[in-house]
Amino acid sequence: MVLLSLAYHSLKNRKLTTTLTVFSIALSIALLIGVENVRVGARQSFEGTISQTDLIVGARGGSLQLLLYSVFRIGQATNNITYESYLKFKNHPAVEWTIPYSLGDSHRGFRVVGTDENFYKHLRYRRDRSLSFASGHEPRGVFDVALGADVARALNYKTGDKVVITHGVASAAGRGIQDHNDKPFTVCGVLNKTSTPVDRSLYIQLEGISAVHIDWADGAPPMPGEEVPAEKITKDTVKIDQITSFLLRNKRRIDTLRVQREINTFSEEPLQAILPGVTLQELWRTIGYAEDALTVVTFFVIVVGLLGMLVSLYTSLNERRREMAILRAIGAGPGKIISLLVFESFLLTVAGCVLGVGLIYGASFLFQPVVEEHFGLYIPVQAPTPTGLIYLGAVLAASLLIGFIPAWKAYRNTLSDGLTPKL
Amino acid sequence: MRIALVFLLAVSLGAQTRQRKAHEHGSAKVNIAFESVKSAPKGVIEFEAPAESITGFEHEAKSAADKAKQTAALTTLKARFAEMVVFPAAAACKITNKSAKVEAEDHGHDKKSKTKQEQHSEVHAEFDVQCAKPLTGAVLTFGFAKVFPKIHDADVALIAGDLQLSVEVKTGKETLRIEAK
Amino acid sequence: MSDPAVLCENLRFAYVKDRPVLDIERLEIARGERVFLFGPSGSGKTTLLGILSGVLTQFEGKVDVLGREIAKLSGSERDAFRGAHLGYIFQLFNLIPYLTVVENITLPCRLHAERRKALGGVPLEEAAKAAAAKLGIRHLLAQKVTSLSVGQQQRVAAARALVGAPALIIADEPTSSLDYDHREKFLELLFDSCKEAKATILFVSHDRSLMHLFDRQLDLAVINRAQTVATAE
Repeated sequence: MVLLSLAYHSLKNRKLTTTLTVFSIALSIALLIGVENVRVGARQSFEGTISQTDLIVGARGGSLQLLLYSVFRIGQATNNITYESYLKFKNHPAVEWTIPYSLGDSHRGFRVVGTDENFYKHLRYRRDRSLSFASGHEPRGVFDVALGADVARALNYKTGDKVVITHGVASAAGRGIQDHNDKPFTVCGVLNKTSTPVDRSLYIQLEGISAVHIDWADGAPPMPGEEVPAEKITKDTVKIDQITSFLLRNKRRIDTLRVQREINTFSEEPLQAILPGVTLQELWRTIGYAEDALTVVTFFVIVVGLLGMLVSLYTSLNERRREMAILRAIGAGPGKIISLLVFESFLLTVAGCVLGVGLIYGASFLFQPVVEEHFGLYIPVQAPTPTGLIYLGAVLAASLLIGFIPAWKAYRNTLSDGLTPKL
Repeated sequence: MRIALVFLLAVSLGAQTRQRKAHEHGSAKVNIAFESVKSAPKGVIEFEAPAESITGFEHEAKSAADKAKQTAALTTLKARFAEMVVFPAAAACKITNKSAKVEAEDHGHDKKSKTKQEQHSEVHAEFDVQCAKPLTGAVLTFGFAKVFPKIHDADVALIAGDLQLSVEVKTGKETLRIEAK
Repeated sequence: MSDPAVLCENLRFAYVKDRPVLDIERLEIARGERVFLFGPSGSGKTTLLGILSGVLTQFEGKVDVLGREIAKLSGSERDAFRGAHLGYIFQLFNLIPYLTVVENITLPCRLHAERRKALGGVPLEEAAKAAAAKLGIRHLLAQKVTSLSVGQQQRVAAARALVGAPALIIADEPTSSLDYDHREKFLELLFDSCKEAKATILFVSHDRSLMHLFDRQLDLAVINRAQTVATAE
């Protein structure tokens, strides 16, 4: 304890270098824990984009592709599935609910998704959160459109505004293939922010998708003057032929494998059903390499932080030769000299760790809303993860080891100096 | 999420090429499903592998020798499945076989390739699993190659309530922990 | 307690082989004696002190300090022995700069349980106060050592050397940085404190104006045969 208190006073005496060293360690620790928290947060965010969905079903093709266009609204489906097949599984005895998606149209760079009331009722993200409206209500009429939070914010739309949907997926610059000018939609509601891809789409009814294409023939728009006027279109006059994919929830989880097999071997149409959780993990594993690279970089930052400490302790040794001689004169042996310096590096690192963890949690707490707002990344302010704790332990252990380097040097000094340091 | 999306875009192409072909010798697929992992969990396991990896051949077993080989292999599969998918002893799980058969793969849509060499057949098996203790936090281990040395790769998916987990077993040292990450 | 405080017989020491720095046939210092050791620079004074305090160990011959044969102690035993039974005063910079006066004075007792035991149950702070009072620095106890004058620092060093009543005080030119008036005063205080503790003093200096205050004066140039050889060369 005497040595610990000596180490403490010695560090306190060298205020400037101690502060700088502690701060540099703290920053590297903050970065380490920060990256770890972002990693966990990103992963939770990522895996939380869709919850309580047993299967995602689409036309046969790549399973990742199905996940990407159904959940992340990235890429396109190569094939649609018939509404008939969809209804078969919607009404399947083992199935609790389905959420259909009809994709392919857009509005100023944001995707337009045709779906039904189950979307608002059953979609879950981040384990058990459901969608809710910041204003207005879900689409009730054929030409109603509900907006994701980011869409409303980016385009500054509010309920009552008119929205024209573009055929195909256009860039934000508006170079759409063909605008459905004749059939504008009315914003009926704006969803609350979810920090998932839900925020970046517009939602209409399945009938709405059919309605804008009602007068199209063979993928071509109607000739001028031949358009079916929007007023004449009601839910009963449009027919839904096909959808792009659907989410499926079984009554019992154990049926998932059976239903999946049934879908995959469906004889009327080539379909495929994927387990979203499993596919998300597969995808995450691929992304994981970037994650590993980030962790490696962070480790080097830690190494630099600890090396900084080593340098500051090591260079202080020359001016401390007299101090070591005094300690020897009053009977401190080499062991105690070594302990003193190891304690110093340990104390510096402990202080750095405490400050670093404090920094990162303070920063997380302060910036969490900002990060969620701008990056759509929800970073939970939670107790350090086991990995985070292992990192901290490893850093402390490394500091003990590193402390032995100046300690050994000091020991050599005291041996050669005896009680008369050569200054 | 936008960051993740950029990542996704960057890797999705690469990832797509990584996807497993439907029938790859040495590659097995295992699906496990539990309604819940709390108190005495009961689940099902599906096993699927190219016949070559189990019986050693994929042509129709016509000769007596081939038939004997096939039967022996399926018997091994049924009897030793608990060594391939290993539940923790503490959970006291019992795996019972429901079915195991070799099925020729239908190549009707690709007539040109239906030569003798390209004929594929798959082994399908189903098992029930009944555990005495909850499986929350349990760690599954795998020993496919121990029983069938030709299996060098297995995709294991596990459904446990709302949890969907997966692991790709390659070295045999991989584990699957039943808990939310 | 009949053992002498210091007894050297046929002591030889060389930093470099065949170049002896010290060669002393016999040196004996009795308990309670106040010895003034002098000699020109390079005569081996500091080396002798290093040997007596158990820091330099590669010597030949017999060296007993307070009845203990130094050569037979292990490294850590020597450190502990020094901490418990010796008080050491340097010429300058005696104090740990980041500790207060009282922390410096009590440090040997905090490092060594045996030295602390020698206080006979007196609380550390009390012992420090008593030693400080004797040396006239009681009012400085709470101060940082960096704010003290050189003379005050040397007195703090003396207080530290004396606290816990070590049997042998070794002082290596402790007064050379003080002006003449302060030297005598410092010595007086040191002697008074030592008398009370019955401590032996080995006082090294090249300033012979102080030698008359001591019981015995030793010229190292005379007792060290190595030196005569070296000068003859």
